[in-house]
Amino acid sequence: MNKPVAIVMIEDDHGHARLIERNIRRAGVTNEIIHFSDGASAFAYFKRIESEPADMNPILVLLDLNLPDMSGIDILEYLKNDGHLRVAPVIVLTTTDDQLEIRRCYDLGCNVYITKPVDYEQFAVAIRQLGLFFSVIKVPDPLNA
Amino acid sequence: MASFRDIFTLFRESRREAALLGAAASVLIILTTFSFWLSHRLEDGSRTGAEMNRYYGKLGRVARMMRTVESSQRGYLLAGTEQYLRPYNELHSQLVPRTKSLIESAPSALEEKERLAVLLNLMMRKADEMAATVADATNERRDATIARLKENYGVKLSEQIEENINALQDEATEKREEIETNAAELREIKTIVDVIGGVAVLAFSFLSIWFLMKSNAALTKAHKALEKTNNDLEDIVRHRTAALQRANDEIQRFAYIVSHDLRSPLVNIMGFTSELETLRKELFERLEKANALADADVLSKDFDEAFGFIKSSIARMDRLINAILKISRQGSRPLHSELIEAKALVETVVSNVAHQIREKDGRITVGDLPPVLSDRMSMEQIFSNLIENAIKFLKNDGHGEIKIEGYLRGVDVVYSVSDNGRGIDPRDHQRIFELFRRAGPQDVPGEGMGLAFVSALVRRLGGSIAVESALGIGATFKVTLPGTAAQNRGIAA
Repeated sequence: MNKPVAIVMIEDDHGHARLIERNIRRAGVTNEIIHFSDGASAFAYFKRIESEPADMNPILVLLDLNLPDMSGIDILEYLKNDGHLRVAPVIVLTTTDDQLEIRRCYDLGCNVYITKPVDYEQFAVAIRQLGLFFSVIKVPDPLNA
Repeated sequence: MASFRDIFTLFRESRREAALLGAAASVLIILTTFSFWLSHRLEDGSRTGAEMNRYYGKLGRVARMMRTVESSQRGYLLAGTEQYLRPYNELHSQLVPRTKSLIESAPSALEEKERLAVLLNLMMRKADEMAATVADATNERRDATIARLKENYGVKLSEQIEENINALQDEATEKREEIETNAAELREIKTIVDVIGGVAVLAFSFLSIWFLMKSNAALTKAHKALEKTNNDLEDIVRHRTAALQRANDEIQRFAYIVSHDLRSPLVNIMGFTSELETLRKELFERLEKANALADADVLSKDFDEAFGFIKSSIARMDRLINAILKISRQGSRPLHSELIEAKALVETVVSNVAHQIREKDGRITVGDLPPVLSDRMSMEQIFSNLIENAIKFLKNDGHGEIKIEGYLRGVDVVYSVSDNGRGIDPRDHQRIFELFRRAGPQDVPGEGMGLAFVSALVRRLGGSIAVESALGIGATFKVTLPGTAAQNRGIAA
């Protein structure tokens, strides 16, 4: 019953994805990281979870807002309005630090909003803390929710 | 254009109307004068007519008097009693003077002056004749009297006198009738003139009313045209403003997007540079262990230098992007107009930078600042940027001084921040307000965006900013903001 949590990372910038992954690993988090570089492939994956939920692990979503084919806000909205996926924690990790944007994400139900700092030290610290967050957070299985 | 032509036409028509009304007035004046003259003539005529009547009566009275005296004379001659002589005694002496008075009082219109002279002559002879007969009768010379009577001299004289008087009376009657005929004609003319005058007055009144209505209609038309032009103008202004607003919005969106998209690759560059640094550390450690490197120190220094430049450049680029972001964000932030006690606001700003002033060992004074209706956050940022700038460029000699003052100029509110710092070359007065541009020796940290930011803020509040400065003397920045009424409009727009 207690399947390991999969981290779904939706990030169009491969460099960012790589840096995030490295820092998560450095924080000692070993969970599977599934990377999508656009909104459409992420949607396809979510649809698959819905159709055969039993085969899938519970997920935690790392979301970038600036995607090439759609806005991350659309994905957030979709997740939080879905019967099963609603329980998955969503961490918005993006370059935008506009207060209105942040407010909007929290209003839509995002759990954490992190701005990617240009300063790498800060960036690394933020991701590692996120790793710590992963290790303590209890992610509910959508099937039991 | 249409309205200008309308106004011109109106002007031209009004001139034509004025000319017409002037002509009408002249016609009325001529008619009235003519009518007045006719009345005068009529009056003259009736006076002459009355005079003729009176003269007619006078002539008759003289004739009657002569007859009375004559019959008294005859009665006396027949009866011989003094009783008959009384009228004679009474009136005989008046005959000649009365006739003379006829000459004197003859109306000028009467043309028969010669006949009057003849009449006087006849009257004098008649008076003499009667006096002679009465004298003969009184002196008992009846034979002489009878003889005189038989000559019929007296009767002939009487007849001639009466003839003349009748002729004169006819003449007077004729004259009077002539005058009356004349007067009837004049009266007829006067009636016609008066009727024409009345009609003219009515016609001109209608004409004036018509002109008035027409000019009123034209005026209304012109007014409407003007109103339309005005509305069109407002429309044009509204369209231009909207276009400008759109362009402005676009620039802001552009700045916003660019700054975000620039940031993404920057995160990578910085991230992987750090990763490289970590790798380098490991590499050098391994090389040292293998003792493969003789001059590891030099190589290490070169690496450090390269990383240092990359990192500082990235940091700088990040600051620039943040600056652009800040300005673009400022432009899209909604403004809230409120009455601001500028002195209190500036004192808060000053207290926030107190430690920086202490570091420079400078002094800062805040004068009496007039309140202003404006956006609080913008005002705070304007003052804090200007004051921080002033502190930055103060001299380190302990005599640094910053003054913040304010006053009203017409409907505008002017605030000034002056320092006695190193000043700005007049050549750079324009540049310093541009983004990322700085002036003077680059020994103070900064991105060159403070004044660009302030200038954008002031512009947004509907004001303007100017600098007065010379090298080595200090600088005064003057912010002019629109006063209450004008400002309301600026913020509403």
